[in-house]
Amino acid sequence: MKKNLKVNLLSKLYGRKKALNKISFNINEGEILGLVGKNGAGKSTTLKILSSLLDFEGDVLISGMSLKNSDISIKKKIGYLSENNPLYTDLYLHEYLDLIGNLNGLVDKELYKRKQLVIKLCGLTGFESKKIKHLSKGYKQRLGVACAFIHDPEILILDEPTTGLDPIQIVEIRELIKKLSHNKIVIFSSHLLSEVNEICNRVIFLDDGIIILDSSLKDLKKKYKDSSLEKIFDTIINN
Amino acid sequence: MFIIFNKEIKNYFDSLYGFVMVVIFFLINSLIVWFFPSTNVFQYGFGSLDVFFEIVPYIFMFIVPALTMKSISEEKNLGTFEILLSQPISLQNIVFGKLLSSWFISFLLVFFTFPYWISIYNLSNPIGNIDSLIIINSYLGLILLVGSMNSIGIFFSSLSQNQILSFILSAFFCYFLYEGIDMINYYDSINYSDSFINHFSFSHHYLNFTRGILQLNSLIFFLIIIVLFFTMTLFNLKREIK
Repeated sequence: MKKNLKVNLLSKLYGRKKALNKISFNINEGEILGLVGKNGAGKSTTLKILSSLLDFEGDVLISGMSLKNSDISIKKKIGYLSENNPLYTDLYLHEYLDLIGNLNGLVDKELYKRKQLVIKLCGLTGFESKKIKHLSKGYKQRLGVACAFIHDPEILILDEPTTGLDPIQIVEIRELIKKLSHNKIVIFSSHLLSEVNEICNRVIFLDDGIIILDSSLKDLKKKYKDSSLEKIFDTIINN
Repeated sequence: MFIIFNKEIKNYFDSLYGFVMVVIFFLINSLIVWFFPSTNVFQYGFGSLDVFFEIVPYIFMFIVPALTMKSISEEKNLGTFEILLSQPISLQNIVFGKLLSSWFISFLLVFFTFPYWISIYNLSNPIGNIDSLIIINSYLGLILLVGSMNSIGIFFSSLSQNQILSFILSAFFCYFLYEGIDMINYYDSINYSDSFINHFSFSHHYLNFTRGILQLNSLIFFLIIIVLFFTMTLFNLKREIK
């Protein structure tokens, strides 16, 4: 069965403020979706809801299973990298991967295999016995991605994965996301439209908790005659 | 739940923090029980650990909040609590793992005071002339008392991202429940011969154990406190997730 994610009339209230107002979209396996919007548009809220970190109204179906009504094991289908990539910095890298793997039900040989795979894929070879606090920002970010990926989730959710990285590290993380996206659904948010342009094949523009555009990048470029994403975003916002 | 338990235990002893706690605990206890002239057991004249069981709740009033203060508040402050919440583990298991780990550390501290008992046993004249049943009972009461203090500590740790505030609040609350209620009861007793609020005091129930009285209501009281503050922690964290 093909993996898919259906978001149906998703709403979120913070007090009286509507952070999300009945947004709906579907994503299928192999798609990399970029969530774009100004600060406070609802990007992080959407990603947190999809990672079951917040209560919500509406429904989210992961390959037919409701996020609201399923038991906790549905979280195994999701890999989440938080915006500031918090880590247990006193742990060694391999210990941290063990912890996240264990929490996702990986043990013994299976854990060892997955650990070796993500270490290799994320370019962390040689750093296994280093304390996390001694890693550079770029390697910490790779580790965050590795943890989101260690249990082989159906959906990878990455909240601003390149924030605070230098240009070389940004390119490395982009390549890593592309590499890991095979047979998965990847959703990530970014302020940098150039990043969306580089990685995604689909984009959703959010403004004030509503979707103002949901399109494949290819169609968008065709429609706006190869304008930059910044220009397209400005045009849509101002209309 | 055991994954969280193991993580927390490792966290205590991977840093200097856990060892400092252990050293401080044994230093203060040993000084009071064996060395200070006014309190040491040699002056007491009887083969008993009364001095230890009298003083140790006051030491735990500081040790337990110090153990629990960073349990949740630090994770919330650093954002790592979000990592745990995004994993396939329930909030109940996260909190229970944390409670159990700090209770286990407290239990270890209590456990390693057994040499006191053995020493008193051998120092008695004739050897073994002590009421071991009272000591066992007192240890049981102490373990339940520190369990309650841990549950309170975890709750206050969940309230704030500020560890110092968590420490102060839980130390104060533990003191209030141990001795504060007794103080109120003292004024209350001027007007009423039998005070109702006395039954909410930690010391009232704990001292029952140290007198060798194993009362079911004292046992249930401590269990209720543990469950109550555990539930309040869950309630508070769930409210935040909403």
